[in-house]
Amino acid sequence: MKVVSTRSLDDALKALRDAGPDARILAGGTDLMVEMESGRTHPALVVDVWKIDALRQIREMQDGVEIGALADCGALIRSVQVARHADTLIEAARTVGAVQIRNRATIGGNLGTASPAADLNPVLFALGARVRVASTRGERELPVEAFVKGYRTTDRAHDELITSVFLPRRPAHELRFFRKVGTRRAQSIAKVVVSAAVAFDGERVQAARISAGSVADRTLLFDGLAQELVGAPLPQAAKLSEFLRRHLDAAAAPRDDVRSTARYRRFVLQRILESSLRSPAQVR
Amino acid sequence: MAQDEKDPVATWPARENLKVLNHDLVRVDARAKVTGAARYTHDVRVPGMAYARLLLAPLPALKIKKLDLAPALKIPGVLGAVALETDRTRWLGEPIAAVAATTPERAEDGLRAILLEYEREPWAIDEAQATAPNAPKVRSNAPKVSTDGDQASAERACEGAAAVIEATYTVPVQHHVCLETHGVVVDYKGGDEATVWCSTQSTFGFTPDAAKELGLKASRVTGLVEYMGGGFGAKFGLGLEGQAACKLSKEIKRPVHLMMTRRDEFLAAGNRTGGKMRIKLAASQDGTLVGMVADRRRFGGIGNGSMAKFPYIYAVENAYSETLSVPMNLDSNRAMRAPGHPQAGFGMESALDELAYKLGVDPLEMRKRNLKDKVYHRQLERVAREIGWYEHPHRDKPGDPKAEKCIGIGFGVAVWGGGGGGGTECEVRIERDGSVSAAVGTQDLGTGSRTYVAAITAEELGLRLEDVTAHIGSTRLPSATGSGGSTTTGSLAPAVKVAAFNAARAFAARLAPVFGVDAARVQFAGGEVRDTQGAKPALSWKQACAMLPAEGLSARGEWTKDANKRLAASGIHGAQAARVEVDTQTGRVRVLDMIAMQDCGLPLNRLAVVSQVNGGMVQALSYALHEERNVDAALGVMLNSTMEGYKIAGSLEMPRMVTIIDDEDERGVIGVAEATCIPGHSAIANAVFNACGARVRDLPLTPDKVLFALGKVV
Repeated sequence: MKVVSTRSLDDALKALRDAGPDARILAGGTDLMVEMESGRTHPALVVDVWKIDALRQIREMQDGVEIGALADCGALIRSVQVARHADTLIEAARTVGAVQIRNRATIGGNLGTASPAADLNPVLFALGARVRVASTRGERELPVEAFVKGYRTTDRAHDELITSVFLPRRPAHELRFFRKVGTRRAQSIAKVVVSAAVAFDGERVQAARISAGSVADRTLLFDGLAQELVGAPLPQAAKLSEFLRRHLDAAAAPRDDVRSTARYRRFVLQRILESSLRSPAQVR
Repeated sequence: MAQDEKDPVATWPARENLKVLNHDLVRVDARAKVTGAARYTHDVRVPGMAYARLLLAPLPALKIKKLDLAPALKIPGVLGAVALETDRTRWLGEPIAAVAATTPERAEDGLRAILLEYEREPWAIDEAQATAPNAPKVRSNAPKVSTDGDQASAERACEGAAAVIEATYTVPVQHHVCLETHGVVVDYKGGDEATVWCSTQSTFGFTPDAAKELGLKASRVTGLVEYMGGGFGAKFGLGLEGQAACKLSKEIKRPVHLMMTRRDEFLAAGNRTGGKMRIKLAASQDGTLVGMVADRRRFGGIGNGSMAKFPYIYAVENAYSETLSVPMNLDSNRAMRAPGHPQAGFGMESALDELAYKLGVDPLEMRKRNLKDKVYHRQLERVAREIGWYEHPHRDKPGDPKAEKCIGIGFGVAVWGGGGGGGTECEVRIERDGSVSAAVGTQDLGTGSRTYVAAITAEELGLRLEDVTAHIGSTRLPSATGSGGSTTTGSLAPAVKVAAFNAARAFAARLAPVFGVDAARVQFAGGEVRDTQGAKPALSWKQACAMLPAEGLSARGEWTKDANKRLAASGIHGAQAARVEVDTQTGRVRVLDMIAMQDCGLPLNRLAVVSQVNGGMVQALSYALHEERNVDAALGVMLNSTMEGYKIAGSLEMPRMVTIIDDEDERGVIGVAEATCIPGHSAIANAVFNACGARVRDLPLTPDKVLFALGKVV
């Protein structure tokens, strides 16, 4: 196994250009090291980008906040800019692993691995994040739901590197939430994780993005559900329940695994979305 | 000290006169442990030491066609390799070979290089596979059904009863999850002597076997257990891993460090028996248990498993049970903190609870009605009061499951022996400079034995805890028995007490002429020596010790039946209550409070007793909510052989815990470790039912089971 370790983005991109599709990118290592330790992966080449400090910055812009791909969960939690624009991302980051893991696990790594159980990704989906990737061929930007394409599969070409995630400025009246149900209260991977952002114009829903993890082979964005919410007040009580069931039954495709059962996931997904959508007190 | 001048014998002073014992003592090794200065087997490093790793059977049953270690020896850094099993393996994770290298990583490279060719043989690793009509024969000696009681009369009693419940309760295979994994460090470089460190519950239990493996005389091998990181019953003897380390060390003539990895530990270092109990339980209208018929299965892997007899602690007029071990191609069960009791307790406590609600009888009253020993009555009443049972709004029926958060309370009781036995000796030495030591080869599993060895000695000599040094954990010290069945305190404390008593008597005899009185009048108290009746000024302890010859003074004591009668006892109880909150949206259970009342005879160190009880509650909470070995029977693998997949309760799961030491127990010392971990999970499961009516009969109480039990309620 060969390891290329660099502090320069250009050098990293060149290394990726010259490498084959089997090369692996090492950021914080919280996924890759586990895979290697368990023997599931034997990469011939590892491109270590951890020391590229330029990718670690969190910058507030006119229209939102740009978070460098190497910002780790600890950095997200401490960032005032993230607190201002993406408070639910901080909530999610707090539920990731323990302090040691949070200080290694990066936002770029979360996206790059694209695990269906990733804690940060549902928030990024709900907040309408845009993913910025670079290669020696140039840069491009795409919506996060287009970036994540399947079970641990993304739109990243093998010579590309995620450089940052852009989150748009927070609208005036928006209900946001993040909820994770794990095996225990800390250091556990989600059985079900949900996040949403619902913008209001008075009583009426102006825009909605609702996302969930651990209920399919990838992080899901419930597009159809959101579209039907727009233009009217949120349905109440039994109507909301029925509305969610109708959409989620078709959209979610959970399965049984070590952490929980499909039946449980389907049930709890609906319940926690329902109870979260019933709490307009959270609209800020 | 005894006042009988003719034949003084060691007895405990009245509790109110104790200056060190029965107080809250900070452990003598606390600082060393929290600063990392304490050296565990895992921490031992000796010059020229090699690190070893084990190759475990990747599937539950194999016929080995070829095992070639030569490729491993070609890996840089690999120093040696030994085969442990070359024919067939009978359980998932059975060690096949071991490799020693200059670093653990290189040893792992060596493992990967070993050429292993095998044919898989049919296996059974879950109940369905093991009981299928064409199930493979796991063991040559097929287990037989054992029965207890008279079936016909038990069935008759159930038929005529006012209320009957019939249900099946299951408990998972739980792991010990010791913080320190199993392992040894063998310091042998050829020659005729060796030193072996072992993470074990029995200092004297592994050394002879290590000597045998090394081809040495047992008298030339020193066994050391300076500190050890938890055993819970899983760490007796040298073990396959210890044998492998000795073989490697003998072959390469270098010291070998072999600590199991966490994965090794899950696969090949023991576990608590899982089981299944089909119970029919009947009571009369007033809640008196009249009949019980039970059919029980023990899942102990390749071993027999264990499950305490029914009707467990409760009195049932006519009880009958059948028990059968169901062997599987998995690591054998080992003793684990109250072997068989947490399992049987769960079945019995759950069934009794169900019957109480069915009859509309307060489940606390139902317990008392069927517990003959009145100690349980006072303990149950006390924990009930502490947890708020008498103010609880729904005691004989569950709470409304329509609430988002439901609160409930449940109970459980325990029984254990905890008495000691022969085989433990102690030597107490008083030096001319005034320092004192107590030496016994025993081990400290984290129970605080090192501290009470010093404390008992200090109490006897009128000194402070810090004035006495305890030397433990070596085969060069006086003999001691292993720590199993909570027997250590009952075996060790009398031996230490008698040794200290004998030292005091010998010292008194030497000092008697100084005071010009009979030795019986010389008293050690408050760091001084005085004549109890005379007018002569007291001597300070140091002044008195300065009169000793250069070799100081030493005395021995041992456990005897006679000393045991005066100093120790056996048979403890224990009642616990749990208060939980059930989230009816997600099915998650949060344990809010756990209250325990525990008798243990004379508490040597109250802080350590509380710590033991807390630890027992934590382990039971984790058993209740989280822990479970998960296997894929078709693939023949364990799915959660890591701490990520196998969750134990974390700090955020901890409830408010209150331990009440039952000071009405006036007996001598009794071991307390095991009883503490018997009632907790049953109390939690019963509290979940009391909260919302969800009866989960299958541990652990994971959110999905709670939610779907609730689905049947709502």
